[in-house]
Amino acid sequence: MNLYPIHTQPALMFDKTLIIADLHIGIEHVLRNAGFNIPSQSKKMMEKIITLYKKHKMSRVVIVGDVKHNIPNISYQEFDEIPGFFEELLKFCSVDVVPGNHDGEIKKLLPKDVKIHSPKGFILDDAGFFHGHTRPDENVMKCRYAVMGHNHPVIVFKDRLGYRISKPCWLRGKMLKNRDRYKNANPEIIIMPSFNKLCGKPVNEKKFLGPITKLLDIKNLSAYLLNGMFLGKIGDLKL
Amino acid sequence: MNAFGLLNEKIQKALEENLIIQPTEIQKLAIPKIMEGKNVLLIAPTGIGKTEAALLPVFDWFLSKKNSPVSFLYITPMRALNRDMLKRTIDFGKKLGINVMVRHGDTPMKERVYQSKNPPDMLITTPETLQILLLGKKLRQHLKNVRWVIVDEIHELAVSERGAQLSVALERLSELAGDFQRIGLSATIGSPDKVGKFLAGVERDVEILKVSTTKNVDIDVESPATKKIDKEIADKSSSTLKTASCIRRCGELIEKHNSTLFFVNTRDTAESLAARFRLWDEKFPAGIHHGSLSKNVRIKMEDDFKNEKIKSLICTSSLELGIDVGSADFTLQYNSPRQVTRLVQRVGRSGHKIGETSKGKIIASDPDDIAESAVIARKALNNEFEEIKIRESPLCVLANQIVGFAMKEKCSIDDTIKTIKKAYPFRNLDKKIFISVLNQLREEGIIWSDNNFFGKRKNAIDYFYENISMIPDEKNYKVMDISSRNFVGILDEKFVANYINEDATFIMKGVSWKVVEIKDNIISARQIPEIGTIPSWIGEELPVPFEVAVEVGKLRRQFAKIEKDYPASQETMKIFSDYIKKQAPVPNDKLITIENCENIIIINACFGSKVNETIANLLSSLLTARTGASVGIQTDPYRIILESSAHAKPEIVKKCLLETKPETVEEILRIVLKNSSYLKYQMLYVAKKFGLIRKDADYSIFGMHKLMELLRDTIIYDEAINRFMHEKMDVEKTKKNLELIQNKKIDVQLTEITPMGLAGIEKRKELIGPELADREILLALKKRLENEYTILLCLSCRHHRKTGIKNIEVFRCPICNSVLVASVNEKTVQNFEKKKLSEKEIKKIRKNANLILSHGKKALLCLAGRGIGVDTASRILRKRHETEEEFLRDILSAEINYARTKRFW
Repeated sequence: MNLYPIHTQPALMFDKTLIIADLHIGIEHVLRNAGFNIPSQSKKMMEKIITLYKKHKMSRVVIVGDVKHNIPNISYQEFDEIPGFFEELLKFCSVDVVPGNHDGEIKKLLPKDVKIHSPKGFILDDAGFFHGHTRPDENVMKCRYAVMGHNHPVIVFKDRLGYRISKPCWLRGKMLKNRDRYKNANPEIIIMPSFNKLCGKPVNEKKFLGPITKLLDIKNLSAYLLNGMFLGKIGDLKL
Repeated sequence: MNAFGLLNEKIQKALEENLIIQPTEIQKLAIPKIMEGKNVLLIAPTGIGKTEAALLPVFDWFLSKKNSPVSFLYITPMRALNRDMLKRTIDFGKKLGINVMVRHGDTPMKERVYQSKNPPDMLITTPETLQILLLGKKLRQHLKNVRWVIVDEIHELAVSERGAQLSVALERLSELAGDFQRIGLSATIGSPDKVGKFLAGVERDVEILKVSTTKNVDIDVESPATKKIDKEIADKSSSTLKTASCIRRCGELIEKHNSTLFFVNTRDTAESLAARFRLWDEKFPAGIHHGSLSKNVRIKMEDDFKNEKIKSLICTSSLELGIDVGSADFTLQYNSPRQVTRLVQRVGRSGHKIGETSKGKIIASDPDDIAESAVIARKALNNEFEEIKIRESPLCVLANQIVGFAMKEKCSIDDTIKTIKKAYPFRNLDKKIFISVLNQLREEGIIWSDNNFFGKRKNAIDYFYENISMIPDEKNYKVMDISSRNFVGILDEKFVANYINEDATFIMKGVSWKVVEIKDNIISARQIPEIGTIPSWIGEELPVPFEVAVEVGKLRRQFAKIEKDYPASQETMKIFSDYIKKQAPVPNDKLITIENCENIIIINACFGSKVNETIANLLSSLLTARTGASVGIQTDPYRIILESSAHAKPEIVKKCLLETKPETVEEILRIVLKNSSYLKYQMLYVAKKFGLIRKDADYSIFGMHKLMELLRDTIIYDEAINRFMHEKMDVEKTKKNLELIQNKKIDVQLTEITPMGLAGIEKRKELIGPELADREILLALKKRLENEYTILLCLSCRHHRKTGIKNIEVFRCPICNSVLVASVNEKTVQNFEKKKLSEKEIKKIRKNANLILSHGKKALLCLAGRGIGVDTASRILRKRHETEEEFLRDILSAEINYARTKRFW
């Protein structure tokens, strides 16, 4: 199975399937409450997907969780934007969604034709897709690849004069030998960067989220920038 | 017949009763013209009856026309709401049967309600309050009757965004009331034509009346010689010897005169000097006055000075405005005033009695200061004022006013643009830009808009009341005297964050304090005798103009010939010429010198604050592009200082100056500013004024860096850059000077480190980051490559061993001592042993070994790169790299190229 990251984009591709994670549509509401009237990023995200479609002509889009942002309720913006966003998508692709921890009432917002899977994950070819907030099904982990989101990985650089810059990144690695319930599983774990620019957590500064990350060999997770540059292992990148 | 004779009898009688018989010069000029009904701009120094020159004829009009209230507005900035002037005007009005009232931010609710129901004939108000008045239902009805508007301190307003906001407000008022007579009161300033157009708006005439300032003005520059007693003063006041001499001399001058206004340039200098005076002599007769002291303290100081209880007031531009401080007979300026206009305004504050001379003296501390002060004094005596620049179409004001328009009712886009374009700063407003601002506001949810109209949404009200004023909102801490529980003054956030905690000491009101407690935004403190830390407040020093710096440069070059043209004593100028004689070569108006020390490069150029700031940003961007490391910059009017986190060579700087094409300057600047850390403050301000960030915003949720990235392609970013470039830079003059450098009219030389250069070094740094901060990425890359493992395969005896790259020191085979060793992977070794390799593959292994033979460790690092095979490695290693960074960057490019063309894992 040829599963590969698209150069400079926070997206994976195999056959005619595009995989993205963490749209967090509606996150602007939280920012609004914190005093920032940030305009909606949804249009920009849709434009990005359309650009990807023009280049790669995918026939299916898989969203690995956190389509919406607000918990526990649905915000006005989400009501307003999500159905339309997905109707637009359905015009040229089929859509699969694995719900994440922010996707509480997502069934009410998504058009009927969107396939909503169990949060325990689902399998396509030899890859298992799950969000990362809850333990996935054993079979999902028995695949060759296990793809998750939830962590919005970003690497932070600081130089001698104090100038600070952060960049989204991919993380790849394996589980530690002590593997809990996933005894016969040894997938290549891929943690996806978030598709929404507003999200980001410095993985070389802060702890990881989710039950699976507790099973990961974090020190030896490899980090890559979106342009393909291999930064090295998390253990070596800690600030 | 004197001008008063033209006025209504009632007015003449009231003047006589107040013992005012003769009109002053400005009154003689202004009264007849204003009585003709013309728009008039009055330019005169403070304190010679400008206010009356405007009020008297307007009162005359009122008495003959008897309009309904509100007939006239007197607009003045809040802090110039001089209590005496107010009282005088209200009393005078009473005598004439004219009802005068005041309305500003602190006016109590009761009074506001009263004014709405019983409007006065004349309303004295501030530009910000006018914004609110335009919204009040009842008040709008009254404002329809306005026939005369007087704008005070218009020279300050014209060059600021508050002024642009006011100019739009006046057009809105015009829509409501029809055209009214406009009178502007201005201090002495360059470019009076522009201020006139600003007052009148587009398509209206205006007459400019000026009173000359050079009659009876006496200014000179002195650098005090050291006397024996100065050592004692230096010890007592914890100062340097030179400062002590200056302090002593100032003391002598204050004693000699009746009443001295002692001007300094920044609030912290004011505090520093006041504290030192007090340490020298507790009874030193000087008070202190500046914008961060509480109102009570300021009023007390003003009163004490007026009543001659204190002989001098150490003050900042807080006293340049029309606050009546009685009759000072002498102006002292500590250190160069930096701008001609400022010197003239300050010296003009003294010697107001008719026939008296305005006397001023600049006390200069060091030779650079002497030169700058002498140049500015000479220009002042020759009326060579700075030109003023009024920025076109400031978008923060546009956003603010769009909401202002919308607050009232649904608005037509075209009609609104038409009205706004009548205001001088917006005369060339492009409809496309208007629509972009409208769209941004709409996307933020503050207004709604369609193709033809726009109007307010619920959020507009919050935005409007939070943003009435264009003055930036800085978080301040109040200082309270714990014994008297009086409010002493304010300290700003930056200083408090850096220096203040419990037990910290600082100086305020000329006295030292120790912090007792910090709670909420209040710092309680008690007085102590020792000297504390001098506070710093954001954004203090005026830029030194290009023309002044160039003339200082000329002075440096021709010091032998010029002494007589400058208003300074021989002794003072000798200090300067002795200093110059010791330097060689001396950077001047025709010579730029570049010196360096470790990773700091100092460029000595006499171009003034704005051009040096522009060149600094330009150079830092070019250096950053070369080294990939961020560059800290710091400038003053005569120096540009660059600090790089990687080593940068002065030859490169010279090259940049000689080769950068002037046409590319603006473009380069816009790119480099995108990564500048002080653009952060601009961005924050613009984002707030556009309503993107509210007052209660919680910054912990959102890093500044992320915010800046988000705003990158928006109009907010563009406006922040434009604003910054207007305030701090001068692209046109920079281009001209680059041309002069490249045409060899100005020379560039590299020199050893000099005292003149070092004099500019200080602690603060502003950071310019490279697009990718790739130096850090490169270091991460190097670390990663060194941590890689490889198998060293001997081509002679086939011995192989796995080893970490960083551990490899010797490249010979440990068994047979052969130099032909290749760096390969497991698979290749296996195939090699099984003899399964093709001709081609064997050739590659040989090439590999050759690379290692020629380049050693560098080759190993290179070959360890992802997707870097022997051919690519060969290509990289063939290049001569000047630095390790260049080498690493080539490896990085090769890796990225591989990732782009193949799967990167």
